[in-house]
Amino acid sequence: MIIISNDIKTKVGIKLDESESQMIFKCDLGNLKVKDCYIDEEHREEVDMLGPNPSRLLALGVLGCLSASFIFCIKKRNFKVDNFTAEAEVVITRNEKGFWRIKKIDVNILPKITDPDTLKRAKQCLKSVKDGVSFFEQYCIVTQSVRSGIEVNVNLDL
Amino acid sequence: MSNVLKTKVGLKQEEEMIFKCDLGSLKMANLYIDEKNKKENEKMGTSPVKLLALSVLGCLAASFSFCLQKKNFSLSGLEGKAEVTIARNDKGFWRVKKIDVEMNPKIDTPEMRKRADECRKFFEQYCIISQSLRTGFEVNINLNY
Repeated sequence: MIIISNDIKTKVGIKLDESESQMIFKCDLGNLKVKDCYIDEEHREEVDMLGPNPSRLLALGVLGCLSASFIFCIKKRNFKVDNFTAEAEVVITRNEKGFWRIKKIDVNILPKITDPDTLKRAKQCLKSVKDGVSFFEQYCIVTQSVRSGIEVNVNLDL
Repeated sequence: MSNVLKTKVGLKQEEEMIFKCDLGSLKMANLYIDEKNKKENEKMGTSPVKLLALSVLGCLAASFSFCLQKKNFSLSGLEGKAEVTIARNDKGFWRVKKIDVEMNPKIDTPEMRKRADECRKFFEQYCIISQSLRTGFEVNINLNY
């Protein structure tokens, strides 16, 4: 990530996999500790897929960003959740011209919190600020940026 | 449900800012989202912004390749890059301003070039992701061959 004045720049790359398939791409995420990453638009069955397809990547981008924003909000007051899971469902429909487009992403955030003070803080994080968007959502770059094009519904179960 | 497709993903917190992704029963090794480590060689996984950029890049590359395949042309290579620019909005929050995409497919024959020229005109329309996002921010595509 390069920071130039008030802009942040992030780079990624891909390369067509050298297999026979024309629909598998190797990701270049930089020098991460992570093993190879592939985008697979070739296989339909999950067990055959070498990697996620672009819709799943987008959903993970939204889900990961919202999760990190929520945990960050809790951490700001030095609290911790007991456990944390989250899920997202992408709904894709045809537009009036017949092209497939993402209609909405439904997000379910499921933190487990037993400590009353942490729960109090979690409720603060969930508080709506302007435009009906909760405090922690405002800090999620990805979700707030995609929202003009795609409906993102966030459900946080406390 | 014929006109609706649904895709599901999930995650589970591993450490405070490291999340293990649930992508279903894929063949791939585990994928992590790491918002804790700042140095690349310490990161267990990628960031949400990089996932967004990869989804746009992967979708455009697959759409272009698909368009060529429709007329039985196979790429001998394709490389792509995407750069996300994030800037503060008028309220001071960081937002994605634009994604600049560069794609370099290897076009081997004049016939293939002809088909690539046709694909250039409409392949973007078949990319679900970039076309869905474009009302929110710019996606600029530079296709070089």
